[in-house]
Amino acid sequence: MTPPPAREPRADAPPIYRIKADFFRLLGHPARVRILELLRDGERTVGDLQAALNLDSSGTSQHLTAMRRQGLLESRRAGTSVYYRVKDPRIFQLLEIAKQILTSQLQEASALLGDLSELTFDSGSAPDRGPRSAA
Amino acid sequence: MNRRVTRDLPRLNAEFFKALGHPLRMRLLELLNDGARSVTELLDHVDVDVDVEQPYLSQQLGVLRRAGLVVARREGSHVIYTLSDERITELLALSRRIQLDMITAIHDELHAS
Repeated sequence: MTPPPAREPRADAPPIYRIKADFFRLLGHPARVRILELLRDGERTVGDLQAALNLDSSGTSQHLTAMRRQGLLESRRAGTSVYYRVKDPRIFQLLEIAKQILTSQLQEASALLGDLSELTFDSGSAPDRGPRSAA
Repeated sequence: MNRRVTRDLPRLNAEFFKALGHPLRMRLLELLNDGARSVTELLDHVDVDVDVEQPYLSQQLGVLRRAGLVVARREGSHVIYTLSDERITELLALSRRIQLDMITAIHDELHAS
């Protein structure tokens, strides 16, 4: 049931940085990011999450267990179902900031690609560009 | 933003977090959070209490750079690193608050047990 232990990083920083890094390492998996997003509107059952993720049940529960163990999620049993929810809603704020940073990077990258393709294909004489769509 | 990129966001987001999920990289980000620094300055700060060699430090800076967390510019013979986006400061501060509460909850449970 336990996820495979991640490779031990080298002892290259005092323990406090390892604790801080572990928090982000926990988030550093696409399925976990998706689970958090699925829990944005409130608690959901394991089966529900599994269906939405399109993962097998052991994969889903591995991620859920890892995040519950580290105190990111909490769970409750109701009849035969187990419901999971996010413990601290500021996690959503954190995801949002990360997404904003990523989005502006992607926009810069695609603007740059736009410039490059103009260089390649409009090698002609028109230096005045039309308004570029903001990706 | 095209649909493919939108669909890939959880993966990109995870890559972004993975870049933060490393003790030395976390340390470097916090140092850069206090202001721009050269590789030599970073090495001096990091080397106070752990033994890190320059190639390894540069390798980790490279990971941060490719993840878009830091940018490098050359000034004379120095390479100066800065955070790529001021929202990274916000991200680090928020994660610190969340983690502090997580650890406080564990602390309280330990006391109560």
